[in-house]
Amino acid sequence: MKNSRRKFLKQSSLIAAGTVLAPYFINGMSAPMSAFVGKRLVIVQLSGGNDGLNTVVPYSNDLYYKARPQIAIQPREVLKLNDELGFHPAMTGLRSLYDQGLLTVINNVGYPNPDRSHFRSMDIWHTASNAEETWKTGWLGRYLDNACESCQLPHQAIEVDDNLSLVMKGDRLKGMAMTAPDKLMNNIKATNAKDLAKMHEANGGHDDHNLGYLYKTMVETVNSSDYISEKIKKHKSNADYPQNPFAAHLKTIAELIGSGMETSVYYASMTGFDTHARQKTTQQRLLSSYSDSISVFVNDLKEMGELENTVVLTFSEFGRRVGQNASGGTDHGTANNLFVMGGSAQPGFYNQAPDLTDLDNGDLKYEIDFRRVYASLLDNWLGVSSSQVLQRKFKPLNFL
Amino acid sequence: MSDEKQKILHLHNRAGFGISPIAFVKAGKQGLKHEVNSLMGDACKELPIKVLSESPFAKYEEQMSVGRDRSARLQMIQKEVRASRAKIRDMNVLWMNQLVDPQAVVREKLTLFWHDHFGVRNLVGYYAQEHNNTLRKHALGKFGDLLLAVTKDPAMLQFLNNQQNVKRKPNENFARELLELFTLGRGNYSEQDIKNAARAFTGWGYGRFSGEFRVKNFQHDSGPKEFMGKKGNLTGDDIINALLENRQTARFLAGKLFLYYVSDQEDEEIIDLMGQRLYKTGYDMADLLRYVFESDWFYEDRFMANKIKSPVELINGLRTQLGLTFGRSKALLYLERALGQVLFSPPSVNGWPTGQKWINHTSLMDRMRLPRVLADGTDYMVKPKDDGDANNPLKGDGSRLMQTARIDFEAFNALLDQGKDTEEMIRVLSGFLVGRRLQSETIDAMVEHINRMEGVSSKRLKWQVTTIASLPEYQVN
Repeated sequence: MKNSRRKFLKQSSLIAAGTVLAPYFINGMSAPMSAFVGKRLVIVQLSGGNDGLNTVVPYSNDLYYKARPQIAIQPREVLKLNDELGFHPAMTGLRSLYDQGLLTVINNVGYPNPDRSHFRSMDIWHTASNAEETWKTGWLGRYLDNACESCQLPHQAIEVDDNLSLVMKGDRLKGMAMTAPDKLMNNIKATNAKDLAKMHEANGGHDDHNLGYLYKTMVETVNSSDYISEKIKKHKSNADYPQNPFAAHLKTIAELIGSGMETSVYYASMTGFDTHARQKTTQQRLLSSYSDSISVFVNDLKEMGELENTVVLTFSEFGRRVGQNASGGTDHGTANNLFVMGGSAQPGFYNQAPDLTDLDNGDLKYEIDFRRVYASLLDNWLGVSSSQVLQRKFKPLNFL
Repeated sequence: MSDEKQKILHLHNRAGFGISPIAFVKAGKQGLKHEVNSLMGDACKELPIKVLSESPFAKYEEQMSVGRDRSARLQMIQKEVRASRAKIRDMNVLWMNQLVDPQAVVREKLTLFWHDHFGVRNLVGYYAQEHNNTLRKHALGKFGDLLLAVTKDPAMLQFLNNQQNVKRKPNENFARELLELFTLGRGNYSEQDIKNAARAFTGWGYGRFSGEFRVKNFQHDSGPKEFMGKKGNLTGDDIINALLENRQTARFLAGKLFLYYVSDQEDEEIIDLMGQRLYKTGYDMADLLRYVFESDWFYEDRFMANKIKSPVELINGLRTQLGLTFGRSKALLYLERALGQVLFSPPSVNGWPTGQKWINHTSLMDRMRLPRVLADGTDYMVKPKDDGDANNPLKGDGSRLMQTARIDFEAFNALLDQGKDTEEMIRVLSGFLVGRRLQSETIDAMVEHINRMEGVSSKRLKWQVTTIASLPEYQVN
């Protein structure tokens, strides 16, 4: 494992891990060392627990209609993909990706002893822990820790959000949260961070454990933002993204990718999927938004010639119960489908439709542990040991 | 600033959320020991929160058909949860105000510690409120009393599923967290201990209408159990006693209290001392706090101005030191969400992060921008994280709320002798605000900026205070 890491290291170890990194522009160094190996991962999180059964509809299964007399999607509305399954009618964009061979659907993904609490289940997906464990670092943060011992700058992994999620926090390194590079530049300008960063170097740094860490973080932010704004000037997307915040975030990611940023991981989320009531109208709106935005994004990457280098994974922290509830919606459930686009992913359905005859107290049973999906992405795409990052061995799937 | 004054400042920063400039000028005239007595005697008032007066389910008792109708019960709970949201926000604001009340601050800050320690989150307003009051009532008393009271809290019984822990089908969730998170800490017990503890707590629940603790005897497993040397038909009380008798509990608690009051970096020797003291006094919390505040090691250089503030510490520090007030109390709730710590909503039973985990590239910039936003009324533009839960209100960027902020810059004149030069002013202000000398380059840059400023001296004072509060140095105290 150490050998494969060395294989990907790009530069000499001029800077020892743990010392404060001098701003590269001050020392006249060339581009900072990174974990980037030419392959990218974009993770899309659907927060709230998206109802998988109404997203990938088992339209020829009578049990589905029996369980959801009011909210099931009728066969005539379904965008049929094969004899059994089809998409929610709002997802014309996704349908087109499927037809182009750019989409893989993995069904029945979950984990043992599923938790139906939003924040617990999302933590489990973020940390890749078992259901009964509470881990304090995220799998992507630990990927950063493992991918590059001498990497110092945080833009290797970027979350397009104002706050950094647990998923991006490793033991030693963490990703960077920002919704827009220009906004970050403005935020930095609205403080004295840039001047302080220069003065800090002149001061020779701070010895105090915490003050040193604060200044280090500030200096990293200033450095990363300079690198980012320099790069992003190079590429503006011409694609026609829909007008919604999620699409705007995807567009930002596309522009960062197009400008040649040495970032391995991007993270974006879309919220509102907790459809306890009025599911039909809410899901129509959300899936429409998701599908339109992501299909423009994927096509944008394809136009740029970057789709073969980029894998896009979409997941939600749990699916929902098979039976509808009394408010025209569904309650928190368990296993769900997830989508993979781009890279070398084998298109189509990876596995069978959910088995509605074999439920666990009204909930779908999982077939594939989500950690196996992560293992596939780590071992077979990003080239980092999954057993190190996930702290357990999970057998990768072979969809990549 | 004299050494003694520096210690007084440090004491107030840790026992509470700092001290106002005017109070600081008056403080410490009778020495450090007197100051400690003063805090332990006059800043510990118990102010129970009374937004709701009774269990909301009591009124349903007559309506329910024997309570057997599960979906009707669920609807009842869901209705109360929706009604509770606004009430819990009210409780949050009340608590935030009590946290900066000089007569209650020491008890309230310790209550916050317990809130984090037990990590309970309950969506039924009345249960959340009563749990908070339990923590407050016993905060400074004996930990054993607190632990037993919390164990019997409907909020806890529901949160960790002890309500579902019955003889026929034991639920180990509470027993596990009791050992792992509340008393011994990981690695100091076996799975068998958890199983036996869980059996001892079977039947401990609460009336679904009365919201009061009761033991359902027919659900209780009164068979023989073994737990840490004790044998017999052990009940929950026996388990708790056994845990308290175990010195590891005192050590574990001492470790957490050290991180909260002394430093982000563990000092094993000091934690040992604290643990021994705690054990010796039967887990007397008021005694322990006094012990910490009166110890020489508490005032060592390495511990001063060196602990990263949590969001609540940052917000309440600004309210205490800078006299920050808001025209709309909702602004407090917005800031909690924007900075990532919402009272009554710890992220898990593990509680909140500590130390450096609060700081990332964006959160540091948000914290550094904050004082200027509050002083100048500019846009803050932080959209609090949305967890996708259909039940979360408080979206939006809160700029209008932030614009209702007022800071009492005038109060800082109490610290400043007239006629002192700019550099001296900066030293005095930074000594008070961040407890340390700033680096000479920073001071030079500030002096240069001030000399170029036009206008009245109050404008310069405002700039200095705001600038110092915007430094990375302000993130520790």
